[in-house]
Amino acid sequence: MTRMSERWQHRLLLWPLPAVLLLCYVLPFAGIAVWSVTLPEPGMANYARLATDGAIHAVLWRTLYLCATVGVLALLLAFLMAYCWLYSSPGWQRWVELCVFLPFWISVLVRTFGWLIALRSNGLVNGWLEALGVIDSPLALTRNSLGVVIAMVHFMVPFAFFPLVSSMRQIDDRVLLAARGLGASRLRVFVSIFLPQTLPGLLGAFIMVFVFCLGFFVIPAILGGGQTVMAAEYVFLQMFQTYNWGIGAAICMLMLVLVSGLVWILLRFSRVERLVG
Amino acid sequence: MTSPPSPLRDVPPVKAPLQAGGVQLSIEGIQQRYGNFLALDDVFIDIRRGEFLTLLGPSGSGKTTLLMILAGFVTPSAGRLKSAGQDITLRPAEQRHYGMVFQGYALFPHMSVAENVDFPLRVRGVDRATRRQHVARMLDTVGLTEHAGKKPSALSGGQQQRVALARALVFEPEMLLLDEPFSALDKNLRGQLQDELKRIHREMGTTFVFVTHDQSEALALSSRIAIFDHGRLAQIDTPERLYTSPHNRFVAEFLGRMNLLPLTDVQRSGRRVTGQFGAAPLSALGERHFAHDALLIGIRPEQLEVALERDDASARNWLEVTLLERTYQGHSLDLKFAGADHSVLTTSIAMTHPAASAPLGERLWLHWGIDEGIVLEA
Repeated sequence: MTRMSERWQHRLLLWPLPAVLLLCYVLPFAGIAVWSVTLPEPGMANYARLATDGAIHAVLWRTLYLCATVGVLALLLAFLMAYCWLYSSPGWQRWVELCVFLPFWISVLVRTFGWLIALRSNGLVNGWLEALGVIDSPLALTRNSLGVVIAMVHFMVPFAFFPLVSSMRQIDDRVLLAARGLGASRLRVFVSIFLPQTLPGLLGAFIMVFVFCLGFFVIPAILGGGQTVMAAEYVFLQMFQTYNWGIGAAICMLMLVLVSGLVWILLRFSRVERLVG
Repeated sequence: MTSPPSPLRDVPPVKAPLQAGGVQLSIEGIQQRYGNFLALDDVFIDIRRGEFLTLLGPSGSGKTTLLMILAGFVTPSAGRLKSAGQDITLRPAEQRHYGMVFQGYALFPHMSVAENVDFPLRVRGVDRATRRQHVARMLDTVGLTEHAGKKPSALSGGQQQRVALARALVFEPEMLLLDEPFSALDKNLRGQLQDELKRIHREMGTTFVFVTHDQSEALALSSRIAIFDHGRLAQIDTPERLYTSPHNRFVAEFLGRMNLLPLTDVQRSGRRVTGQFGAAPLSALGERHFAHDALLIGIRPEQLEVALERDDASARNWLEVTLLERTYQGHSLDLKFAGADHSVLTTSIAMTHPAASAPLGERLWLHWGIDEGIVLEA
C-alpha cells in the first residue's frame, strides 16, 4: 500500500514540468503553426511568399551570415581565453572566470546601450581615436552590422567559453607529453593532438552560439538602427507594424526547423553532458 | 668473487646494434630538487647499449623522476646526461628519439590504433609507403593487426598496452622508456605481457629503461636493476648479484625476503665475521670493509635447513628456534620461528620433510653454511 502511494507521490512531483512545457511551449507553438497556414486566409500562400520574396531572403541570409560571423569570432575569443585559463595558475583561473561571469549579471539592454554609448559617432571609441589623432572623422561603428557583431560577440563569449573549458579539461596531459616524446613539436602537438580533441566542444559551442544568435532582437534593433534587420526584428515588424501575422508565423516555423536540425547535429556529434560537465 | 653472467646477456639481440654493451647514455650526478625535497640525490648510472635496465624502488624513491629526466620532460636541478660525448641534458623531448610508454598508456583517443602507431613516423616526415609497411609490421609484432581500425577506447587494457608499445617502438628509437606499464593489469595478463616484452627486447635489441615498484617483475625482466631508496641509488647490478650479495640492508630486504640476525661481540679474521646471536655463535663471510661494528647476518629463507636434532659434527651455523606458525601452501609449508631477542625467522619446507608434522611450540634447529649468509651493516 505504501509503495503504491509512494509511486503516486513521485508522479505528482514530476507532472509540473511536462505541464509547464505544454502550457508555455507546445500550445503557443501550435498556435503559431496554425496562424502560418490560416492567416490572412487558409492555404500555403505564406510559405509560397517565403520561397519567393527577395526582401525576406535578404533578411534571412543576413541573419545566417551575422550569426555565423558572431559564432566564429566568439569561438575564437573563447578558445583563446579557455586556453589561457587551462594553463594558468588556480589564482589566475579565478580571475578569468570572474571576467567571463561579470557581464552575465548585467542586463542585455544595459550592455547594448553601453555599447551604443561607446561606439556611436560621438562616442567614447571615436572620441579617443580622434584625440589620439588616429582618425580625422568618426568611424561608422553603429547603425551597421559591425556594431551589432561587436555587441553580439561580447554577449556570446561566455556561452562558448564554458563548453570549451570543459572539453579542454578532459584532455589528458600525459597524452600531450606522449606526443612530444614521440617527436612532435609543440605546434604539431597542438594541431594534431590538442585541437582535434576539442572539436566536439568547438562544434557544440558554435551551435549553441549560433542558435542563440538567431533569436537576437534587442542588440540588432538598437545598434543596427534599422539598417541591420535580423529575423527576430523582422518577425516583430511583420506582426506589430504591418499586421502580417501569417508571414511572421511562417518565418517562425522556418527558424524552428533550422534550429531543430542544428540541435539534432549537436546531440548527434557532441555529447552534451560533456559540454556542461 | 667474480660476477656471474647475466641471464639475458647470453641471448644476443638478433639485430646486434653498433658497439653492443658499450655505454649509450651516462647519467652524471643528476639531482632533482622540489623546494626542500630532494627527489634525486647525486645519481650516477651508465646505461649500456641494448640492455634491459630496471629502475626499482618504493613509491617516492625518485625512479619515475629519473625516467622523466631521461625522456626530457623534466630538467634536472643539477648534473647532466651525456650521450655519445654530447651533453643532452637540455635537449627537448621531441629531439631525443626515445620511445616512451606511459602509465595509463596515454594513447591518442581521437585516432585509430593504426593512426596512433603511425603518428611518430608521420611527424618525422616518413613517406606514406614506408609508413604503412612499418605500421603493419609493428602491429603484427604486438599481435594487433586485426584491431588496426579500432579506436583505443574499444580495446582492452592489455591491447591498449600493446598499442602504446608499438607506437613507442615503430620509429626504431635509440632507447625505450617504460613507466610502470603493467601496473593497471591483472596478474595473468601481466605475466603474458612480460614475456612479450622480453621477446620484443630480444628481437629489436633496443635499450630498455623500465620503471617499476614490483620486485618480481624487475627480477624476471632485467639484465640490470638499479634500486632506489629516497632519491639515492642504493645499488645497481645484475638481478642475481643483487639477490645474492646486496650491499646494504635496504637492498637485502627490498629484493626478496631476508632473515636478519643482529650480532654482538663481533670479531673478524680475514673475510670471516663471527659474532653472537643470543647464545649461538654465528659466522659468515664479509666481502667488504665495514665502517661500524654493528653488523647483521642476512640469510635467505630458502638457504635455511630445518632439523629436529643438532648435528655437532658439521661446521655450519646452528640456531635453536621455536616453531611459531605454519601456513600450508599446497606444494610446501611456510614456517615462522621465534629466535633470540624476539627475532622472527621464516623458511619453507616440503610436505615430506620430517619437521612438517612438528606441532607449534616445538623446539627445532635451523642451520646453514658459513659461506651462505651475508654480512650487512645494521
